[in-house]
Amino acid sequence: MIYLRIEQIGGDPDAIQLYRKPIATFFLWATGIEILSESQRFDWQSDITRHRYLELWDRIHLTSPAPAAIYLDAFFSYVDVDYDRVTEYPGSEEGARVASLCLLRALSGIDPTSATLEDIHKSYVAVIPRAANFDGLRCYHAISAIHAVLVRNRMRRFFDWANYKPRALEHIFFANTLARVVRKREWPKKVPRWLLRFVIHSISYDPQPPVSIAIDCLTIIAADLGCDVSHPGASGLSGRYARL
Amino acid sequence: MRRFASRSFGFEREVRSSLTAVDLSNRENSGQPDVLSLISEKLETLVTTADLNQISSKYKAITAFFPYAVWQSKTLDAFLLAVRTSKRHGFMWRCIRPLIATLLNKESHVSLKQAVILASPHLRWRDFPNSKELVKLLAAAASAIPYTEEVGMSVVDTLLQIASNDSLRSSIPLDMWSWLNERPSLPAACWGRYLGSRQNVVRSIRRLEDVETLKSFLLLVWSEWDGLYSEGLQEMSFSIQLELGKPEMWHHREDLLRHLDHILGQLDIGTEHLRQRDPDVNESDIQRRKDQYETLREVLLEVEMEATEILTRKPLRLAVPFHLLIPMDRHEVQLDIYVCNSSPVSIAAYPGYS
Repeated sequence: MIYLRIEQIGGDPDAIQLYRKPIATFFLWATGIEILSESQRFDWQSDITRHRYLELWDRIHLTSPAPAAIYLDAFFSYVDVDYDRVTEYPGSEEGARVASLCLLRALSGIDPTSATLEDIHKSYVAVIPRAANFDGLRCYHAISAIHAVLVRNRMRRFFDWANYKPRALEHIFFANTLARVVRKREWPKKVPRWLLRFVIHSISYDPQPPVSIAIDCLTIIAADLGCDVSHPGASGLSGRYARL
Repeated sequence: MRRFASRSFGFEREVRSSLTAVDLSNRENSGQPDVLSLISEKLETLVTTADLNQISSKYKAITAFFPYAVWQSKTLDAFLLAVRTSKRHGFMWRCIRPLIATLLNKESHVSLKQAVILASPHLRWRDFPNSKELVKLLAAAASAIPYTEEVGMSVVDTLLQIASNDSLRSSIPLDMWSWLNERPSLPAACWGRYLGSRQNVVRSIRRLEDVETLKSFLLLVWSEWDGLYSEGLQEMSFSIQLELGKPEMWHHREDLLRHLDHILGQLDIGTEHLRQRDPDVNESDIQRRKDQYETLREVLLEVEMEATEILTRKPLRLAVPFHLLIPMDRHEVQLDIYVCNSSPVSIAAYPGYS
């Protein structure tokens, strides 16, 4: 019922703004269930496929950036910041991970020049220091990517992918999110090095990652080479999740 | 040299279905160019416009493309064309190293190994001081793939680059040196050829005690396109005197002299020809190269003359079995003693071979 109601709200920015809290809560919950656990505990109606769910995810978040601020608040509620050291509260590891993934995904759809992104940036830097240390966090890679997108600290160019071994769906979700980050922005010279490191790391899996990840990684490479990847055909979601 | 397009890429049907060419190319948005084609076309454009600075500045992105390019001959060709055009030493980004080891693994498909071998001259081997295992994997992979001129060229280029690295040289398997005997035509821009003239490389090859390999090595590294390291030049002169001085080595000396004459002829043509490889080359560079190859020619002629002198003194008698083992350059050299019993009676000693 909740799902169908959100589908009805669909492309109405005012309605999303009005119902942003329940919508964001729903997506935090559903993302945790669907993307991270892969346990199929989510009792979907037979006609609501994962593909449709992810399409809805994008439709809602591309229509309105309203849920992004809620994901940021959710993330703050799961972590403690002591000088530059960021740690998760005991028992909050999964929550921080889901919130950071949702926040990164929401950020990837926001126009980089928009006032919304500026607001989120202000809220973020008010809590997280520029030289924040995320070592040891379960959401290390997602929050490092968020930090790189929002703060653009040069130090984060070198963040480490060696221990990034997500499950398949999370990897797909993450790769597609990063490809959207790249597509949404203009890169007059180069895309950040950490993105290219992710690209090389992603193909190093055994067995090979799904084709969806390969296409998203190629999109990042193409952007760095100066190809126009801004059109949806370069790394759209549609159709590819259906093959999972 | 065989064209890339002639390579067989039947493996495309065999590889894991998750990452096939078909999947990457047949996009759901049929009206849009797929991203793989976008990248290949971009690389070809960069090469066509000879924008070397642009290619070099994109070495990280181009390296990141490599693992995706290996699955199709067209994309691999685009990748190789870009890296070869760049002429930058160690073009490929060091982040690729773990993946290179994976692709060279013995369970890996032969065509993936071939792709890595073709790309291997463009790895920055100096960044891999502790990659002895990688060198062994590379040697095993090289012997597992069918020989082509292009493969031979890549293996020799890579072998000489590895040999020039003091920490990696010892990990080269003995049988890998035999690749030198294939004598592939090395390209004008070949870092292995230049680095291969280092003293330690020349010494390593001399210590193999294989005249054929030594001659092949000299024929490969002597080229109008590159000068030689000065210590390497001295080592080469010493190696020629030591290993190629016996009268019966005349045909090796003849081949080397013919090759040197060819190089000196090319150097006489002038700078324009050589600027195709290196736009910065000048007259003094060319003169230095001429001096180096003239020196080697003189050494060869001197050795030839001494050998001829022995042969012309008749009757010549080999005092067998009379060998001396003397320590020379931390290496035992067996000497054959020749005694000329006609007037004037003389004794000569030359390095011998058991």
